[in-house]
Parts: sequence; structure tokens; C-alpha cells
Amino acid sequence: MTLTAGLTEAVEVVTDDHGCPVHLWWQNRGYDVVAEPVRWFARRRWWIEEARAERGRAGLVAQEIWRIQIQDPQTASRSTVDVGRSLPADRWRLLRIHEVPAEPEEVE
Amino acid sequence: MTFTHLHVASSFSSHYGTATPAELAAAAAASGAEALALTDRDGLYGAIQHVAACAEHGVTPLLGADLAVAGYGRVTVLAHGSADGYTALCRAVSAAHRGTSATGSSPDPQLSRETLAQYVRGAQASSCRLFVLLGPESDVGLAAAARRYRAARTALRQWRQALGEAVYVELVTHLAPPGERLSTAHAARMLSVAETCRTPSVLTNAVRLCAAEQAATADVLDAVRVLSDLNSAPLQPNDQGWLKPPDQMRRIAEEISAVSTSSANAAQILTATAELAAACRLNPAQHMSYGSPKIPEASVIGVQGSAEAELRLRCEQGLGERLEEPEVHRRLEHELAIIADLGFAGYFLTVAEVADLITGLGVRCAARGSGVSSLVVHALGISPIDPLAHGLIFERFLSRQRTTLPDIDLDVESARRHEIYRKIFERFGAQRVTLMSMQNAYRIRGALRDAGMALGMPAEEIDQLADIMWRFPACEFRQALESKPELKQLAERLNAERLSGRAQLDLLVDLTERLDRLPRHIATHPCGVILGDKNLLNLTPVQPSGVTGLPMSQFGKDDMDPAGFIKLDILGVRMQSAIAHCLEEVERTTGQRIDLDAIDDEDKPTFDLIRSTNTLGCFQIESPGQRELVGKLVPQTFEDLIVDISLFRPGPMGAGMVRPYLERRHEFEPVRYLHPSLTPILEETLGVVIYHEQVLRIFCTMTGCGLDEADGLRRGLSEGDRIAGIERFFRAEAAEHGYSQEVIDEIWRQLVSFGSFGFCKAHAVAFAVPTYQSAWLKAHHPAAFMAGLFEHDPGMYPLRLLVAEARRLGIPVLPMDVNRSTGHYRLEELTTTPQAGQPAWGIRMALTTLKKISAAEIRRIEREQPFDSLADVRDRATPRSSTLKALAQVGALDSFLPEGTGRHRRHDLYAWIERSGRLRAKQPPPPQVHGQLALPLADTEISQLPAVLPGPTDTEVISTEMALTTVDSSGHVMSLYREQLDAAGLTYAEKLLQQRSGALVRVAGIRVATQTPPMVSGKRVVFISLDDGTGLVDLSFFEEGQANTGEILFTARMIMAEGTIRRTGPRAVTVQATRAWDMDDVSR
Repeated sequence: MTLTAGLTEAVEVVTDDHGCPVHLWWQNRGYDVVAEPVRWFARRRWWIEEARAERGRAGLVAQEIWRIQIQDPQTASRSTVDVGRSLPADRWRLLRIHEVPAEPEEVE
Repeated sequence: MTFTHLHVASSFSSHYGTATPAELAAAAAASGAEALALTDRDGLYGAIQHVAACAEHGVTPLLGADLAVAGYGRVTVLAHGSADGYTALCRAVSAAHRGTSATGSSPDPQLSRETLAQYVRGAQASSCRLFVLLGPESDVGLAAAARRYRAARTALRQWRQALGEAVYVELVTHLAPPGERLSTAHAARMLSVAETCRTPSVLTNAVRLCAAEQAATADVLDAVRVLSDLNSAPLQPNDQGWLKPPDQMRRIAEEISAVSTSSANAAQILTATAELAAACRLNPAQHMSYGSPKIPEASVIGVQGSAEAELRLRCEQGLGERLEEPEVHRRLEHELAIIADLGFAGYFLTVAEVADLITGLGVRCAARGSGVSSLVVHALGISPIDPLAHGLIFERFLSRQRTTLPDIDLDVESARRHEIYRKIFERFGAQRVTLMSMQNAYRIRGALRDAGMALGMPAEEIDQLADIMWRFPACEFRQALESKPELKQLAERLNAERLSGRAQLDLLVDLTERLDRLPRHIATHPCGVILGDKNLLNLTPVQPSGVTGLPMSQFGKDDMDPAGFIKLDILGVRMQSAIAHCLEEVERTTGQRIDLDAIDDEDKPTFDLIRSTNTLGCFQIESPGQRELVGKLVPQTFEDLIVDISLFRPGPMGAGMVRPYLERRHEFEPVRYLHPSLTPILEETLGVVIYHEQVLRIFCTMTGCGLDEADGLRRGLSEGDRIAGIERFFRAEAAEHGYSQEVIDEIWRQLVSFGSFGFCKAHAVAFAVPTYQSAWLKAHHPAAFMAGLFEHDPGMYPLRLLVAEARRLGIPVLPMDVNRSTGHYRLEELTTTPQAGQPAWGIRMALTTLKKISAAEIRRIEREQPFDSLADVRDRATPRSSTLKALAQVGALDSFLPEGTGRHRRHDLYAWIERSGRLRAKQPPPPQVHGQLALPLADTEISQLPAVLPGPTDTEVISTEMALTTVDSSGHVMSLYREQLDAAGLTYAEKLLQQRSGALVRVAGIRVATQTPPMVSGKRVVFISLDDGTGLVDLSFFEEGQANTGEILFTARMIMAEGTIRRTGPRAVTVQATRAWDMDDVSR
């Protein structure tokens, strides 16, 4: 089960040199990213969401999304969340919290 | 580490790719790539540009194509890095297009796997000429996307069975959401399938974008490709199909192998990719014969010995006695030596052969372009123009320093162009000839239409917007909204929308700009024919052209020279067809055969006609701008015509050469020469530098460089980065040759400002010949000439204006008549005996004037003529009911109406046809007995026609003609607006010349031409010509006039305007408009 998209909120994400999240600040608490994150790029319906689409505008068509497992350093409790990165402002938002950690697909 | 992209689509994958080959090569080089493939969908359209761009960036080119294999999805086919590999690729692409057609309803290109297998296998069974990459869109990839592993493995095994070692699995992830098509899991599944089937895997990014920012453009293309909008079209999953740098590709390889259960690691995938790339590296010169000219073997044109000797022999024969003139002899030797050095003798013989083929067919043929500068071309009979007589320079055409291939253009009758093409294929063999193609790219109107469709805008709204757009680059749409008066209303609407929170027009502008100049579809080039040797089709892929049965190369004009293809421009010129029709009509009606090459080139009636500026229909000098220039220039000689044509070009007009020349010509300004050595060069143009040839001679005289080098310098004048070097050379050498600083300064100033904008005199001479010929025919055989114009409509004006001109000239225009009209405009002897000074011939309107008549109906009517009754027409010519009604409405059946009633019974006739047509439709058709002749019974059907309805009024007749035909032949469309016009106090065209300069006038008419020529000031001036029934009114709209007129400037058909008279010469008058209206708006 996931939260609905309407409940997204701003978070701060610290990334490594490859742009991979290593640390997350959410509601004034810091979390470490544990386990290998999964990333993808999700389409945006930009012709509905945006007012302009001039040449060279970044981040119009897709949003980078990371599914990460985060751990509260104090309680050691873990949860799986999806965070999205928005260009060109380079801001992060928390998109979903998964109650059951999603397993990556088994390839036969 | 570097990475080679093996699957890359450029914008030549129309409605798919977004980047030019040059952009892609530059981006690859910037990321450190050593090699780059181009694999456009269905073809090698961008291959030559790719090779050139790779050479520029020091990247090794690879070539392939993304092809559909019937029943097995799309695959990437890569050429092995060898001549065999490239040939197999060309042949496979051509095979994929077999069975397609250039028309709209063509099946998509595809080839069978068996055919592909034939091209894959080389002469030795062990070597592959092509490699086949099975990616996400192959049957293997589609099965993997659906997690049908067994089906994927079976499919892959079949491919291995069919193509063996040539098969690779292509791993692609666009990092789509987990599990979806083009996700990393999709690639991982492919990797597992490949491993199970022991097939090597390579990594690509199935590139269709140069950078992620182009993805919105690709979304629009995805929508347009399926004629849909962004909401409903299947779009790419995201923006990740871009040309990623090596580190990102390595990371992708790692991600795939991390997800996969396969034992293959990232390094193995990348190594396999690099090894395949290495096997595909092309050496363009060796493998594609890139850059080496390909000319038909001399033996094909029947030359056994050396081509050089044959060429000399034929030139000497052609020149005959003239060879004794030392100048002629010297020039011939000079040209032959250069041609021999460059190895082009075979080319000249080939062109001569083609010219002979054309004249052998009895088709009019005239050489055009810089080839006219060559005495050899003249001696071979390709061009009637003697280059020595006009001071034309061979080096402008060909020299040891000119790195481009020679280019001889032939103008032929447009109506017979296809016949000529077929003859050339027949003569040289289909393996040596192909037509050339051209890419039609998005311009403002098309871009706006497709962007609007993608946004789901209503078709009528898009149409209205597209109509307002007038010739500006689509990428400058937003800028144009601010600067162009006709877009002012649109800009206001856009702002209003924005304020109310809607963004559709803003997006429309952005998306229209994004589509600018992307290739839309490929078409047959209007004149290019590529001639090569027997290997031609190994070096260029071909596909069906718009000319039935003939192929065209996938390469275009700009590819010819770098790749070494020789093309001949055989341009169908409608004026040549019009002239041919005119000559035929003269001969048919009078028996007189006119040899246009032998007419007096100082004929007084011809120059009187030209100077009168009544030059409508004359080649090159009929446009409003040209009529104005002719009016100012007042040509007296053939050389004057050459100057006139040269001046009326974007270069000379934009550089402001016209005014100084005219001032000196009419002695308002003294003619000065800066140095006596330049007098002979500039005398012909009164000291103004106009011709390229003059620039060459100035360089040659003042610096002592040769003419070949001078031509290189001239071309350098238009290349910004070379000018400084040329200036240094010019100044140093001219000073060395004793010219004063003052002369050097002034001449350099002229060269720099005029030199690169001048016009090649050879072109102008070639144009001037048909200009003079058409004027001569108009002066001496006006009726036949006008019939030729009607028939082929060669110029810028619509038929209805040409008919008005015929009327003005007093030539009777005979209405369409089913018993007399044919599929052609013919002269017809008038039945009334002409009185002195009256014409004996009229022009009978052709059946083709009727808009919806079919070619078959015309053929049947021609075959069965004459008819003695309406029933007879119906029985023997069997026209469709709609055609029969239209014929009745325009009066083509009047001759069946009772004597003396004519058009007064047209409505009754129409009503009868309609009623009887309905009755007939209910009855079975009467049995037709073959060979039975219609009985010449009296036409009881018509004679008993009840007289019920009144006849059509004059205005009804004209509006019917405007609706059903392309021309108002019985009167003028203006009469439909009589009430509006009577109240307006108009000045008609015929009275404009009597107005004083500055007088205020009101004019009106139907729009016949709109032009926006380049201006010295750089500001746009819009010229609109109206036909008001008494002649042409030429309107000019400057800033104020454009602003006051607004949106209707380019859309209104019937225009009324106010303005002031501006006299520009003894016969030249224009109305400078202050504002204009759409007459249809006023009347509403």
C-alpha cells in the first residue's frame, strides 16, 4: 500500500558522486539509506502540467525516482520510500511510503 | 574507457529522431567516443552527413539501419566494416523498400528474414557482412517485455538458425518504471534469454535524442506519427533515450547485470559491445568509395578508346570552322587540359549523350547553371550559348582548384520529364541510374499544424492559425509574435489565455519552434538524376520514387558532392512546355515552323513589349518586382536583359546594387572607373560590380592570381572566417602590382560588400534566353503563346489572371463546349469573318478547366466528339452525372439548346438533367449493343424541354464559373462585388498610370500574387498584386500598412485597399498601401 500522490512533501536528499541518495532529511530527522536503491524515470504529462515547453527545458518529460530503504539511526526501524527529483530546480519530494518493502523482480 | 553507441536514430528517422547526425557526432566526440553508429529507421538517409560529421570530429563512423523484418519485429542491422558490409547494407535497405510506393497508401518498408539472411552471408560461409541486433522491438524483445521467457528463447533460437553468428541480443534500458517495457528488468530478462541460447549480448541505448531535453519533441513526433494527440498516442516511457556518455552506459551495464540472474557481468557486456563496434568500423573512402567520382563506363556510351580523345574529337567537330579563331582554339585547349587532369572527360560525354537523348525525343532542352560557362559544353551541343560572346569564365564552373564535382543542369519541357527519365534508365541501364531524393522538412505552417494536432486542438482552429503564418522560420515563432503585425491578434489572444491560466497557445508556440526543420518525409527531387557505373546500387540504397517504376536514392543533393555521386539536374520547366505548345499551335494553324534559336536577338517589337512592362507570362520578368525593375531599367538589348535578371536576385537586391546601376544607366550619376585596368572588366555594368565573373577578373588583374584561385577567393568572401586572410592577400598582392592605397581600399570595400552577393553571369545568360524567346512569342504570336500559358501555367499567376491578360490583348476566349473543347487549350478559327485588324483565332477553353472532371471522362469525350444531342453525350461519352451537370452549368452544353436561346435555358437544362438522372438511377441501364451507332435523330429531349426557369444572370454565370472551374472566363470576378465597388470610388488599374505621384487612391481586386522579397533595409515589405479586371494593381505594404491591415494581410482573397501613388519609372507605378480590408468581410 502506498500513500496517494497528493500527500507528497518536500524532503532533502544527500547524494553521492553518481547522484545516488545516501542520506535523507525528513521532518527534521535524518535517515541513512541502507541497501541498494532502485531508480527509474517516470513519465510526466507535461502538456497538462506545464505552461511552457521551450527547447532546452530540463526535466519536462520525466522525473527521476529512487526507491530507497531508509533507517532511523536511533530506532533502527526501516521503511521503504519513493523519492522523486525535480529538475531544473533540483528539489526532492517524498512520493510514497511502502508498508511492505517492495522486492525487486526475480528474473527467470 | 570509451563506449560506442551501436543503435542511434537521427532526425532522418522521420517522426522519430530529434537530432541531426552532426549534433550526434559532436556530442559523441565531446564524450570521448572513438566511434559512433548511425542506424536510422528504414534507411541510410543520414549516412553521408554522418560520415562527414564523424570525419570532422575525428570519430570512426559505423552504419546500419533499424529495419522491420516481416513477422519478427524491428531489428538493428549493422554493416560489417568492409565494402562487402556496406554493399550488403545498401542492398538490404533497398530490399526492405521493394513493394512500397511513394504515394500515401504505401505499405511500410520491411523485408523477410530469408532475404535478410541472403545479405548477411558473405562469399565465404564463415564471414558475416551484416550483424543483426535483436533489441526491445524484436520478437525476442517483445516476448521478454511480456515475461514470456520460453517464447523469447524459441524466437532467439530461430534467429540463430536463420542467421547464425550474425545474431546479437541488444540490451536496452531507458530506466522505465520497474517491470515495464524498456525498464532495467526488461534488459535483464533479455540477458538471461541470451545466455540460455549462448548468444552474445551487446549494450545500446536505442538512442533517439541527443540530450534528454529533446524528449518533448520526441513525444510530439510519437503523437504525429500515429496521427493522434499526446493524450492518446503511445509515447516513449520517459526521456532516457539519449546519447549517454561512457560512464553512464557503464553504470547501466552494471545495473542490468545486478538485476539479472545471468552470470554475465558488466565488463563482459561492454567488451562484447566494443568488439562488435570494432568489427563494424568503416573506412568511408575504401568501403563506400566516399569522395571518388563515379561515372558511367565509357563503353556504355559507345566509346572504345580513351574518353579524352573522344571528347576532343567531338568538340572539334562541334566547333568546326570556329576552331581557326585563335581565341576559340586557345579556350578549347585550356578547358580540355583541365578536364583531362580531373578525369572528367567521361562525365562530359555522358551529359552530351543525355542531351542527345532529349533532343532525339523532340523535347526542348536548354542548359542552365555555371556549365554554360564552358566552351566544351557549347561545342558538344549541350548549350546554345557561346561563353566567349558573353565573357563567361570556365573556372567559375570547373578548375583544378575547385574541389566540387561539375554540375551541368538541363531545363526540359516539364510535361515530358518522366519520359526523359525513362529513356535515360533505358540507355544507361537500370543499375547505373537512380533519381535523387529530397527531405521535406518542417516549416512554420506544417510545424504549427502538427504541434496543434499533438495538443489536441480542433482542426478548424489550427487551419485558421496556419493561414495567418507567412514565411518565417518556425524556430522564431515567439519572436514573430512580437514583431509581425499579422500575428498581433494572436499575440493578444495568447496573453489573455495566459492571464486566465490556460497555456495551450504558449505550448503551441514552443512545440512549433521545436519541430522547425526536422525532416518530415522524403520526396523525389524535382530534377536530380544520379548517374554512376555498374556498382551504383551497391553504394546507395534506393526506394520507389514518385515517378512510376523508377527508384530514387535515399541520398539528397548535399550528399552528392562529398560522397562522389555525379548528378545531372534535368529540371522540368513549365515555360519550356508552354513554348513547345505555342510552337505546335503556330505550326498546326499556320504551317509555319519557328526556329527559336535563329530569331533576331535585336527584334524591335520584342523589346517594345518588354519595355511596356506588359510582360505577364514572360519567363523571369513577369513578377510585380520585375515589372517595376524592367520599367526603371528600360532594356534595349539582350545584354540589358542579362543585367536585369542578375539584379533581380536576393544577393544583388539585398546588397543594394540596383540603385547605383540605375542611377548611372540613366545618367543621374557619372560612371567612374577606379583604375584603367578595371575599365574593361566593369564597363558592361557601368562600373558596378554585379557578376561573379567580374569579381574573378578583378582578383586576377589586381593580384596576378589565376582565375582558378580567384574563384576560390570569391567563394571565400562569403565565408566569414576566411575574409581576413583574403583581405591580407589582396592588399599585399595589389600593392605589389602597383595599385595605390586608395584604389585598394575602395575596391576591397566593393568586393567585400558586393562580391559575395553578386550573381553568376552564366546563370543570367541562360535565363535570359527563354526570357527573350517568351517575349518574342508574346509579341509575334500572342494567341498561340497565351494558349501555351493556359496549357502549362508556367509562371506565378493563376490561370484566371492569364485569361484576363488574353482578354486585355483582345484575344477571344471561347467558352467550354463539349463539342469543341478537348483536354488541351487549342487555337480555334473564329467562325465570323474577321475584319481588318481583328484576330482570326481565339483560344478554346479546355475541358481540364472543369475542376472535378476526370482524365478518363476527358478521353471519352475527345474520342466520341462530335455529339448531336444531350442524349448522345450521355450514351457515348458516359460522363458521371455530376460532370454532366457541371458541363451544363458552365455552358458547355449550350450548343444543344434551341437556336438563339443559349444560356437563357441553362437552368432548365440543368433541372432536366437532374430530374432525368434521378429517373434513370431507378431504372436498369439500357443494354448497350457494341458497335451500334447513335441514330442522328432530332434532339427531341431538348427541343421539348419546358421553359420554366429564368436564365442565369451575369453574376450567377461568373460565380458558377468560379465555383466549378479554375477561371472566370466569361467575365471578371470583380463584377460579383459591383454594389460594394460602385460606392467605394475606386481607381482601376488602367487609370493608375495617369495618377500623379502622391495621390490618394482606393483600389480593389482579387489577390493574384504575394511576395516578400529581401530588402536593403532588412525590413519586411509585403507586395500584393490585385487583378481588378482592367489590369494589375501592385500594392506595397510597409510597416504602417502591415500594422493597419493585420491578420488578413496574407489570408484575404478579395482585397480593397487605400494608399498613395508612388511612381518609380516611366511605366512603373505602385500603390503604397496604408490599410486594406477583406472585401468578403465588408460584404458580410
